[in-house]
This record gives sequence, structure tokens and C-alpha cells, in this order.
Amino acid sequence: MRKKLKRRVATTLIELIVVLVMMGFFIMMVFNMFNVTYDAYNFNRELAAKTYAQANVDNFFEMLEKELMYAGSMGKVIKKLDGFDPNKSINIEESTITVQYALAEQIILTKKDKDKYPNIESTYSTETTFFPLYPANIPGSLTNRWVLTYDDIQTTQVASLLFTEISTSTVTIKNASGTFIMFTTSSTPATYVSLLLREKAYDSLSSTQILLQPTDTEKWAGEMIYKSTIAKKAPSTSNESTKLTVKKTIPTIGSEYEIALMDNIIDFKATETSDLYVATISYLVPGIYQGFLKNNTKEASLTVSRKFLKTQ
Amino acid sequence: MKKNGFTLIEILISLAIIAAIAGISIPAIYNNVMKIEQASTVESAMNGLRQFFADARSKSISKENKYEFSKESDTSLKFTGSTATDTIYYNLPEGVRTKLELDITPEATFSYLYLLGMFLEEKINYYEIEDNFRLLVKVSDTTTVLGTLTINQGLPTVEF
Repeated sequence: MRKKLKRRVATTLIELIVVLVMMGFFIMMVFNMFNVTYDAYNFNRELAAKTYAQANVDNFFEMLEKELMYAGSMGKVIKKLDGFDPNKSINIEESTITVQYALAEQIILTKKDKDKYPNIESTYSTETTFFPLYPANIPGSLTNRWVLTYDDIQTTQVASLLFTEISTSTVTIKNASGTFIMFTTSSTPATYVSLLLREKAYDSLSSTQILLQPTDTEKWAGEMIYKSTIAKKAPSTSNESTKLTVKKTIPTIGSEYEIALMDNIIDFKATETSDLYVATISYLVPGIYQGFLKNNTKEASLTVSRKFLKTQ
Repeated sequence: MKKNGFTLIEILISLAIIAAIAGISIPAIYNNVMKIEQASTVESAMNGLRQFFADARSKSISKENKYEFSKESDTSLKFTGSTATDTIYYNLPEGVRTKLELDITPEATFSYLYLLGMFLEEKINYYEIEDNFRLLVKVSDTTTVLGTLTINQGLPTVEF
């Protein structure tokens, strides 16, 4: 006799467990999907931070390379600057690099062409006064540019470095410090006046004057005479990080400016051997510890080192 | 008679309880998802802004040229170099729900630019180093500031 099957009236425990297991798989799939999205998000965040840090690192090394390349000066024009040692224009201590330089265009002097400078002060408008051999080297567009005058004709004891500002194409002497003795016939002047080169970037400006400090009386016209100090700078507030900065002192106007090259610096070291300068930076990759995942992130750090060959 | 499983009524009651719990928790979950979406959009915007300023600054040093800053609209910025091809653009990202806009303080009377790594404000016949520049990222049509970019010694820094 065939046994009659009894109709089920409810879900069995086995069925429920099967459903729960299937739901578990489904939830795991959804969770994994979110996990992939989260990983991609973190990857993008780190990539942005690394790109930013890398741009700053490249920027720093490019600037450092230029500073080292420009060190010193033509014609010893800055050998009379305070503290300047012509044999040590690059000075490296543990975490500070100091570079001094003046990029100048040499001007050869002559007694000729006096008439081309009608407004020169009468004191100097004599037969014993020398003028640039090539007047075209000092055109009118060079208003407010500077020359460095090193009066090497005098005895060493009284010789002085003069900063002389060209105010017009007539080479009126506007300002000077030190002994105000110009060029005489007592010796053969050759390379004692150098027109300072100007930062090329100034050519793109509508005005050629920058006020570096609110209290300055003179504005910087871009003359390339610097004492540059590259060093690590401790944070001044709790919100800041340690920075790598370059401070540029410009002796012609007696002023300075400082720019930050990188933030989140852990360490900066500069060393030198007989052939090389070596700069090493360790820095945190910034941006990893900001935002809503603050408690779930770690700070990454990188160390980069670059060597620069000393020139003879 | 002994039951072999759950009855329809029991299942329905369970579903009703689950629905009630979901009804209470879904708005909270939705709010959290929206917060995450907003934070993610703001973070993306601030990282992009920082890179935009860092690029212009880097170019002002390497190319020895000025890069003039301008606000094109409430959502886009520009650094203009010497040529049209040497111009850097920035557009604020948009989230699914989050709409952002930019605001500058102090309001630009004169123009700003990068030169030799310095951030300068143009005055009459000269330039001055600018250290009070603030770029605010706000929720559109509100005053709610979600992120700030400041420039300290030429270096862009973001907070959000």
C-alpha cells in the first residue's frame, strides 16, 4: 500500500540553513566589491600624495643644482662682500648649504666715448674718467639695474666694493657704499665694473620691482647677486610640519626672502667629499593622515639622495 | 502535533522585524554613505588643488617665467604661462550628490602670480609677496567651508 505523503506546512531547518549560507556568500561578494573600491580609493590617495611629494623633490634638486652651478663670481666682483670667501663660495655644514654668487656681465672700460654720457656727475666727467667700452651694453631699458664696482686700482687697504645703481642710460651714479672713488688713469682698468645679470623671469613681468619685506625701503629689481641658505626649518605652529627652505639674501638692497621647497621633512643632510656634494632628504608622504579614514591609515616615508660633481 | 519547521506567520513576523530594523537603520547608513561620498569628493578636490598650485610653482622656477593665477568660474581655475600651451587648468571634481565651489579670500583686487617660486600679488607698479591668500572650497550655494588651501612661503598647504 502506497504511503500517502504528508503536506509540509513550514520551512525546515535545513532549508533555512541553506538559505543563510547562500546569503552569507552573497554578503561576502558585496563586501569584496566594496573592498576593491576601497583599495582603489587608497591607491589613488597615495598616488596623489606621492606625485605631490615627487614634484617638490624634483623642484628642490633642480634649484639646488642651479645654486651650486652659479656659485662664485666672474672677475672677483663679490670678493669684498662681507663674509664672502672667493675660495669657498659653497659652504656645507651638517644640514645647511650656503651658496654665494653674483652673475655678472663684465664691462671693459675705456677713456673714450665720454660724450655719450652727458649727464654723468661733473666730479667724474674728467679726462681721467673711464667709461664702458661698449655703451650699448647699458641701454635705457636697464633702469634700476645694478653694477658692482670693485675699485681695485687703489691700494688694497682702501679699495672698496661699490654698489652702483644705474638710474638711466646716462649712467648717473645714484647710490654707493664704501669709498666713492671711481676710475683713474693710475692703473689699467679692465674688469672692475660688472653689470649684474637680472633674473630672466623678470622679463615676463609688467613691472620690474618686487617688495620683499613690508618694511623694505628699496625694491628688488631681479639682480642676480645672492647669498642662498638651504636648510631644514622647524615648524612654528602645531599645525605645521618641518620644512626645507631656501633663504636668499640680496646685498644690493639689503633684503631677503625665504621660500619653502618641501614640507613634511623628517631629515635633511648635506655632505661633501673631495669630488662630490651629496644631499639627502627623508620625508613623509603627506595627505595619508587626513580625512575620514584618519584612524585607519599609516604614514609612508621616503628617502632620496642626489650627488653633484664638483667642478674644478 | 509537533511542528517540523517555521510557519508562514513566524516568517512574516521575522520579516516585519527585519523591515522595522532596516527602516530605522537605513537613514543612518545613507547619511554615513553621503558623508563618506562628500569627504571623498572634498579630499579629491583638495589633493588636485594642491597639485595644481605645486605644478605652477615648479614651472615658475624651472621655466623662469611668471604663472598668472585667475579664477575662471566658481568651479575652475587657471595658471597662465607665456603661451597658450603653457597654461595649467583646474576643475573641481563633482560627487554623486556633492556639489562644490571655490571662493578666494581676500577678494582679489589685483592679480596673483607665481615667480621664481614666490607667490606674488600685483600692486600698482610693483609686486609684493602674498602670505594671506586663502582658497576656500565650499558646498555650492552655502557658506559651509569644507577645505582650505593656504600658501605659506610659496608652498601650497591644504586643510580639510
